[in-house]
Formats: sequence, C-alpha cells, structure tokens
Amino acid sequence: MGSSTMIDIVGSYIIAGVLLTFMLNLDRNITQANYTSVNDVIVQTNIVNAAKIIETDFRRIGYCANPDAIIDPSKSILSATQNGIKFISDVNGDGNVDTVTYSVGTAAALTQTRNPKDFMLYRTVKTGASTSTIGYSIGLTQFLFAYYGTQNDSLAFPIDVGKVYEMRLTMQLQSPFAYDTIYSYSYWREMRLASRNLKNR
Amino acid sequence: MGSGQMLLTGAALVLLMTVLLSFYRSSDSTQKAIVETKMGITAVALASSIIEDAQGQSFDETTVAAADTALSQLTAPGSLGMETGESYPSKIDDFDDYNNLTTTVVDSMGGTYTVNCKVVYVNPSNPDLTSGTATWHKKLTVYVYSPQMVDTVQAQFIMSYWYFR
Repeated sequence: MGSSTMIDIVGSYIIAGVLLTFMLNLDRNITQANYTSVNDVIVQTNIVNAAKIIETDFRRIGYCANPDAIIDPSKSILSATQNGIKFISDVNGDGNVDTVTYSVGTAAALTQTRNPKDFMLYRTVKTGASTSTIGYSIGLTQFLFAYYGTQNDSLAFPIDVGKVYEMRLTMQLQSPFAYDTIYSYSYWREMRLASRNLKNR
Repeated sequence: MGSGQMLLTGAALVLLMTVLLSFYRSSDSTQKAIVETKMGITAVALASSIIEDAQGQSFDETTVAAADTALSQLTAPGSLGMETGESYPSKIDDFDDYNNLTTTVVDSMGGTYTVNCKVVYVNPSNPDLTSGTATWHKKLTVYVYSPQMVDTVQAQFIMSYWYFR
C-alpha cells in the first residue's frame, strides 16, 4: 500500500468523521427543536386555558343570578392567602350561592411529572351539599396572589378579606417534561382582577 | 484521491451544508414564532390587566363622589386624562385617567413591554369613531408592544354610564 493510498484512506476517514458529526448534531438539533416546540405549544395552551377559567370565575366573585341571594360585597371573599382564595359566587348561574376555592398542592406531591418544581392547581366548587374538586396538572410552578384595597394600596398578610378590592395573580408554567433536564420553557401571566361586585360597597 | 473524487466529496459537502442551513433557518423561524407567541400572551395579559383595572374606576372625575345627570357635567373631550395630583397606579380614580398613560413593564422572563392607553368619547351608533363631544360612553384602547414583537397588541373596552331616575 503506497503512501498516497494511505493518505486517501485517512482523508476519507476524516471526511466521514466530519460528516458523521454533522449528521449527529443535526439529528440532535432536530430532536431538540421538535421537543421544545411541542413543549412550548403545550405550555401556551395550558396557560391560556387556565387563564380563561380563572378570569371567568374571578369576574363572578360576589355574583348571584338571584338578586335576593346576593350577599354583602364585603363578605364575598371568605379567605385570601398567598397561594389560594375562597369566595362566594354563582358558578352555574342557577341562582344558588356557591363557594369556589382555588388552592395548590405541593411540588413533592406531584410525582407524575419529571419537573421537580411543578404542582397541582385545585378548583373546588361547593354547590349546596355537593362538593366537586378538579385538579389541574399543567406545569404550574408559581401561583401567587397579591391583594389591593380601594386606593390601590397593597394589603399585608394575613388579609382582611373585607378590604380586598383588587387582586393580582402571577402564574408561571413550565413544561412538565424537559429536554436534557432543562426546564427552560416557562411562561408567566399577570392579571389584575377587579370583580365588579367587589366595587359595590 | 483523484480530482473526480475530490469534486464528488466537495459536492456532497455542499449538499450537506445546504440541508443544514435549510434546517437551521427553519428552526430559527420556528423559534421566533414561538417567542413571538409567548410575548403575545404576556402582552394580552398586560392589556387585560389594564382594562380590568380601568373597569374598577368611576366613569368620570365628576362621578367619583356624586352622580351626573347631564352631559355638560362630564369632563370635556380635550381634558380627558389625569387631573393635577394624580399618578398611575395608586392615584387614579376615574376611567379617563388612563388617557395618554404610558408605562413600561418588565416581566420575570426579562421581556420589556411598553403600554400606551388612549381614552375617547364614542357614540354607541358608531363606536369606532371618536366623538367630538361628551357622551355617556368612553372607549379605552390599550396598545402593548415590545422591541422583540413584530406586531402591537391592541385591546379595547367601552365603559358606559347610567343612572337611576
């Protein structure tokens, strides 16, 4: 085997190696792009759906289809914490007063997803004697309330529920699963929710 | 390696580079679309936050403490905006205080958004047109944009005033 043949063989190995590296990188990048795109779409869909449900519920704080059953607006909110709220509403518009509770679970309790930070969101509706709770596993990693009074003044915890006029909710979602253990696809949404019924005081 | 083989190898590399470039261009465009959507969601949230906040205010400065019964009592169209001594967000007390309000919001992801508001009087028969005189209806338009966004998010809300006789 002459030296020129050897150079040819070595050269072809080098070129093959470069090509293989390119192909492997390409394959990895395609997989990552697909994974992150799907994760992004899931997270975006989740946050929009969660916001819709929450906005609808919060606009109805203190509302009742039966005007005789409407309670004192200052008593519409039963409890308010940093991670949850309980209020009076008429969820299905049947004229009966319902109690709606938003609360969250702990990250340790949610073992079905690989993200160590996400936790469940619970929405409990008490209608008459029946109570139904729905848990949402949407990759929630932050669910924080801040409460404000009539002068836009921030209320300190523990909250005097009679003084709540507006509330701000900050939500952050991350993808439940990650690529290379990187949970970089998080979103946040801040809402300043001012229920019309809280103004009637 | 003969010149023919070199040519073939070169052509193969060019072909591979073309495929790579095409993929990365496509991937970049997808990422841009995703970031754009992500920012759009936040922009919509900011716009709805302003509107939610505005809904909680009185219709006019003159209706904060008492009810108005005539259009002449309302703030003149040219004077819509914050009154002396008022400031956003804590000192706003009526719907048209949002007129010409500009504020910047930085979100927890590092995005910077500029929020602009405009309040005008409108007629219910044609709410798209600005009324030159005071009416019982005010329209708030919120514009939210960011240097990273291609389009500006625009949201509108009309507040009407009514009273019992």
